[in-house]
Amino acid sequence: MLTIVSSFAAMIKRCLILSSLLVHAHAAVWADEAPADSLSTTLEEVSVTALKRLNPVMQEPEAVTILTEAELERLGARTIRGVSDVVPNFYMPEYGSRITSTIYVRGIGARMDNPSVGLNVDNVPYLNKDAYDFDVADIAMVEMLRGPQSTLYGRNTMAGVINITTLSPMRYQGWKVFGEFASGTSIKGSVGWYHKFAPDFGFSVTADYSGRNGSFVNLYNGKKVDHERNWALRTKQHWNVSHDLTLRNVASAGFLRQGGYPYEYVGTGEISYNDTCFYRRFTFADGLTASYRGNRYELTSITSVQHIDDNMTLDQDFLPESFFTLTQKKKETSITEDLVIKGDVGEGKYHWLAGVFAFYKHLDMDAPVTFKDKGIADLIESHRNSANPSYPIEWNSRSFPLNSTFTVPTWGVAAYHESELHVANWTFSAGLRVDYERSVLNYRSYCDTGYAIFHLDDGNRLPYHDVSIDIDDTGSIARDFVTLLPQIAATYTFDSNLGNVYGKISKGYKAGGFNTQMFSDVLQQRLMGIMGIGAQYDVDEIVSFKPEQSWNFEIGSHLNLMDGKLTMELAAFYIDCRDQQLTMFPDGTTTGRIMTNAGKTRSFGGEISVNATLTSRLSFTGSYGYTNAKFRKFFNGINDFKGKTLPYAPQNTLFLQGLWRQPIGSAGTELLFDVNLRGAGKIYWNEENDMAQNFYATLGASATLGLDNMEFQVWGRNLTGTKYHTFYFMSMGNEFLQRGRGVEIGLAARLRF
Amino acid sequence: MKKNIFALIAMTGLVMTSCNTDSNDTTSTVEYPTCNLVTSLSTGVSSASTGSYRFLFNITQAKVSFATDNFKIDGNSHTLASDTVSYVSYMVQTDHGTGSLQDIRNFKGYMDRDRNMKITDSHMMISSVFNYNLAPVPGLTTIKNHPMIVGQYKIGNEWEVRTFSDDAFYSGKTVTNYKDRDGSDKTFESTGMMYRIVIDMAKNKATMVIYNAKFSDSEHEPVKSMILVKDLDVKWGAGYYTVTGKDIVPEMPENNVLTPNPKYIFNDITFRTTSDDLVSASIDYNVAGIYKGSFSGAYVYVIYDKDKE
Repeated sequence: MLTIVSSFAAMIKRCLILSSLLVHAHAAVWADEAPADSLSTTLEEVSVTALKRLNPVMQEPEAVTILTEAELERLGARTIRGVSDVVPNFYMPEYGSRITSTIYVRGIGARMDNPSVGLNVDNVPYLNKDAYDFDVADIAMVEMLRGPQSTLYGRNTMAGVINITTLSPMRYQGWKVFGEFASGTSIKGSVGWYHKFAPDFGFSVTADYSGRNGSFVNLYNGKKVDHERNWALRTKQHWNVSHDLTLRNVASAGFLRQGGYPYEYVGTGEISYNDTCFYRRFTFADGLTASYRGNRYELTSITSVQHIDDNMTLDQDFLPESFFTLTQKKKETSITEDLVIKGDVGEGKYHWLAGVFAFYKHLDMDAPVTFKDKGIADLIESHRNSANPSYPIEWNSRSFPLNSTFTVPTWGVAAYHESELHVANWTFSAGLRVDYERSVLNYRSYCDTGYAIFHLDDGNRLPYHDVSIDIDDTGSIARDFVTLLPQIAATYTFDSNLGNVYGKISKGYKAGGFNTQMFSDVLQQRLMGIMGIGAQYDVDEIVSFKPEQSWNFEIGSHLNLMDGKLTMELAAFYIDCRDQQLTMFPDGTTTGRIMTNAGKTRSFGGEISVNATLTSRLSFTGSYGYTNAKFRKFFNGINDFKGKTLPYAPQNTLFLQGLWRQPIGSAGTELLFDVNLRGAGKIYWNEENDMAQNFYATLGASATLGLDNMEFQVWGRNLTGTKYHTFYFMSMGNEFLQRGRGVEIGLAARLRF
Repeated sequence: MKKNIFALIAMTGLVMTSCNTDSNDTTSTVEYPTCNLVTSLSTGVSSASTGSYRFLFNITQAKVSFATDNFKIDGNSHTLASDTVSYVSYMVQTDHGTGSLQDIRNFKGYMDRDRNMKITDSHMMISSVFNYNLAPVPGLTTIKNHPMIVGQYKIGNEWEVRTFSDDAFYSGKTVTNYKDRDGSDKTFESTGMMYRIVIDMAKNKATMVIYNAKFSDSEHEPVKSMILVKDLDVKWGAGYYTVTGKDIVPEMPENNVLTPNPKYIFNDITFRTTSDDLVSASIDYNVAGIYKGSFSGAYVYVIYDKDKE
């Protein structure tokens, strides 16, 4: 066994050496070797160089927030949603289902299709936004970079990147056990085992469960709608093959079963709908990172495979009547490869980084919309009969599907480079990425149904004719996207470790794509067209949308004052966005949503984050973000929204937290009290800006008893019961809102041994 | 969402491309069907009939001549033959499509080789840029797929001839005036509605098809994909023709089933050509005693260069 391992290691080593013979570089600190944290740390100093960074992240010209394991535990954050509001201008609201992982950063976000913020977990890029919202039991660090990261991270990172690092068995060995019980009959638990089989080989496995019965009741059937069961498993292997070569592999799998959406109909204020709603998801991901450190260079290969298999079934009218339902089943498999090399020349005066990235993604989707009794009556029969009341129709069944199936293969390649020059206290950097992507949509829309026409004659209803409708449309649409993504920056670093100021210009990019949800509408319009009423959609025009691009201008500063007792991060930005992708609900009686390109938007604002150690026991953390994002040009064919505020993104985010540490008795025992305030708003719900959620704030608190190897925590969120809404939309002319969660209280325990 | 298709149609019909064995010139012979409106210069009485023109193009020298042996006047067939003249070919790009257009001016010739029946005052355009709609209509012939001839000439001192199409799609602007539900007067304009006039030349009857019909901006009145108004009377005038009807219940196709729709009864409808070359037309109608519509437009794209007259 040892012989086989040695031979394998030698082969890997030879492969990496052969590709780096002429280059010299300096080794970097690994991203996942985040410093182990403990409850007694009063000010977390973090100096971590991520894989695609040339310096510690706080020295980079980036607006960045880093949250360590201890901070995440205090916040009770086991998903990236858990850090929403804590990070300035970062907002990830609950939209009723984990499939809708919408993130808004500085006014830029996406509810559908491609994300605006990239997510990497242990360096593995997650390509599908539908899989973003998952529990991670052993997060060691979350790093959130705001502003475009497109030069180094490529597609769909125009608003930022989230890097999650999980706990490495090389950093911690032993057991970690967590259990929590909270209101809504919420139960969470995880067990992790971390072990070094050899000085250079570490292994960990973590199992996680979370479940809740829910808080919101569907009045139609008296059942809770927001129930959830989630299981996850993660295993990590870290092998220092030699002094120069390291292999890390992380594999994870998750299974989720969620109930419906807690959308209340504005007309009644009630959550009440009759058809089944659920979301079921299985995910799997494996990422292998191989790193070789040569003389003044470092070469890393990150290979990943990801799979998502989910089923979203909705009562799409969200009313207690049978209009129509939607099922969206998809299977998507992705493969990515990122090859990064970085190094320095001239005793560190010149740093460089280069890489190539390639991916292939294959999606199969089946998305039927089923028209039911009242939908047939109100949306089809009534339209047709009002157009010709003398010859009314009656459908031949009270339920029929509009079927749509899609196959979407997408692939892309990119090459990127960044150079950095250090001159005295100045650092100048420039980077460029060339990105190519091709996506093909193969679709089939079909339905087989019919109706009978009658003739009203002197009060008699006489059969006139039967009409059969047999639609089977197939087609293929291909799109190619090529873009250049540059960035330049200048940083001045103060002496005496006081920090820096920087200025940066960068281009952001979000890939174009296809409106698969509109196919049910296309088919419905085809059906109405066969019946002789309604205009027809042009499939090519309506089902695809263009890439979104932005130019971003930012100045900022990282400050380390009063001997580290006060750290501040400040940033001001201006974003000029072209062809911004917006989710719209088309007028009338359509069933789907479409992504459209808005024309031009602009966003400006600022952010401030503060960490202050006031005394040895008292510390304060705060962050505030302001965004003013408006349309510069957007005419949707009916209304002109120029000057209106972009919907769904909050204008302000606020987080304030006070921490008090009270040592008790023997060393290692202490009480930690935390009071926090989270706020967001004003959020406009539509382009017209006539519906909005005003600024709201929720109060939270926790008390944690920390012993040598265990903690007991009691926490509360939204303790004042603030009433607010997190989502609004219109469907078929009906308005719906999603309520925010009320008071929540929980008990948690953590054990390490 | 409206959908009007204006297609580029390549020159089809009966095409024979040949090499003149006596020279290196490239020639092409094509024959296009059309209709002729023939007006007596002495009485002003008109008659119309189907026919065709056979063009011989010398593409190398940009010259053309034409002939026909089925030119009818009052049911009697005649022959026509022109001399060879230069023509100008254009590639035309419009909002409605891109295509070629051959402009042929001042050709001469004779009917029946009779020197008293000389062709004068002549102008002919062959246009590939014309309105078109792919949607088939139950009960109507398939849509013709060939360039349109827009021609005018005189024969001796006897006749004036204008060509036209017996199956043409008209696009332009429709203005509808109506009283809304609250009694207020409203006006609705549409450039998406298209009108197809199909003439049965043997019976002097016509069917009008209105595409994307909408007479108001009310959400209660949906767009009708097609409205067929049948059994219209065709009358030939001196340099024009009309298509009229009264109290006609239209039909609307539902997947090849034609369903009458009394709700949209056409109280009266009048189509009239409004230009000398029969390209432009107006349509006025009253629907259900509520909507008063007025259309003006054309069926084919032609260009006029007065400097070349």
